[in-house]
Amino acid sequence: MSVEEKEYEINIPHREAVFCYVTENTSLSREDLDNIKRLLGEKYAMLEQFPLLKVSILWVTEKLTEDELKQLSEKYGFYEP
Amino acid sequence: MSYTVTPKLINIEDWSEQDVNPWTQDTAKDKIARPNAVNPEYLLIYTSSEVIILDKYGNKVLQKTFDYTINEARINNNGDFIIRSGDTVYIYDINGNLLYQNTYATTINKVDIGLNYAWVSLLNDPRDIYVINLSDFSYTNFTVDLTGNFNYPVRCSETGERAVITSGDTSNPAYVIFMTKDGIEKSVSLGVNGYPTTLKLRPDGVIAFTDPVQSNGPVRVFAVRNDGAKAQLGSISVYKHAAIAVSVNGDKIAFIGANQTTIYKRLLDIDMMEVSDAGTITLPEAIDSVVSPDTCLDMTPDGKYIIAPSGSKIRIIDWGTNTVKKEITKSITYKYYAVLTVEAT
Repeated sequence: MSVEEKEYEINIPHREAVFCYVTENTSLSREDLDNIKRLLGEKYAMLEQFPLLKVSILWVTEKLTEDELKQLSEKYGFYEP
Repeated sequence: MSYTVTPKLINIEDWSEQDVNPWTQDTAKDKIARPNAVNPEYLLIYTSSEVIILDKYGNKVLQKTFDYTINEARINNNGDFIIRSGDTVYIYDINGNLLYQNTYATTINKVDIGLNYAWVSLLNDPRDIYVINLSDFSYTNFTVDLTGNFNYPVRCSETGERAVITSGDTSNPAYVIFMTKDGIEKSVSLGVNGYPTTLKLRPDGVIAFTDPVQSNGPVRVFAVRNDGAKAQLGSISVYKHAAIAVSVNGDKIAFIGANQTTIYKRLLDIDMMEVSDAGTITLPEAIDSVVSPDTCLDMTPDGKYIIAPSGSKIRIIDWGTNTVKKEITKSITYKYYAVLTVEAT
């Protein structure tokens, strides 16, 4: 571990996980994750994957639009629980 | 280049040594992690793409490669391990099965894992802390205001029920912040500016030991209790970090400044938070502080022996008599090492 002082960009505030969407897809790739983050922008809070339960949960700060949910549904199988 | 990794079993009755299950590999290992436990069962060794877990007898119980970059890995005493990679945290069991994965909105700063809970500190402002329950992978979340923009460590207790994070920099006061899964338990000012670099916890997480580093020194070493009581263990006239070794009970502490030769010994009365001087040990060469403040000084859990790598040797030194009981010759200049105690059978 370096013990030198380091500067970081700390410009993302806390994002409250308010709404969630689920999918049975638990093998989302790095590219998938980047696509989802890019699509949702500041609505994105986090994405949990539970391989043993075969479920992934996408947490967002506010409800997705119909268009956003449609894209996530078609590409990754997300739906509103 | 080829490297040989050699676990050594040392008998403290006659100080004989035995190489157990050595292996050869093409890549040097970057880091070693040991569970924060009374009787650690495993060592985790990792590079940017591979994890190896050894049991305390030197047996390799897992070797696994990953298709992402490992920034940090930690292990608990069940062998469950947590990996930080950019904005994503992964939790695996000892067999290498992925149990849980979470991709956050921002980069992760630090992680740690206890028997019941894992801790994730995000690199945002205020700092997001996620505490993951390992029984069902539910989580709690809260935020902590930290001063400065530094790479603060977060460390949890053996169970993971409690953790600490540090705050401060060269122009802001240093704090030790005790946390439970429900939020901040106690924020304790150390009364000096500085950015703490070394952080050790007693296994139950009640007392933290740390060293706020100022731009012009000296380094002060503190013991801090979760009710706010604190004691200064000593002060070293160096401008870098200190390495701190602590017994399981927290009653024996040894520390040394970066690139120094004097190990300071202290006894701590936990109930009264009173410190007494237990003398010094002088090493023939400066400590290998370049490796890491976490690993350049160590102690057996019972506090009977101090382990110090310096020069071409790793020395095991008797706490009571300052006698060097064992010298292990190092084959390379800076050697990563960690100590596990094995019960006699």
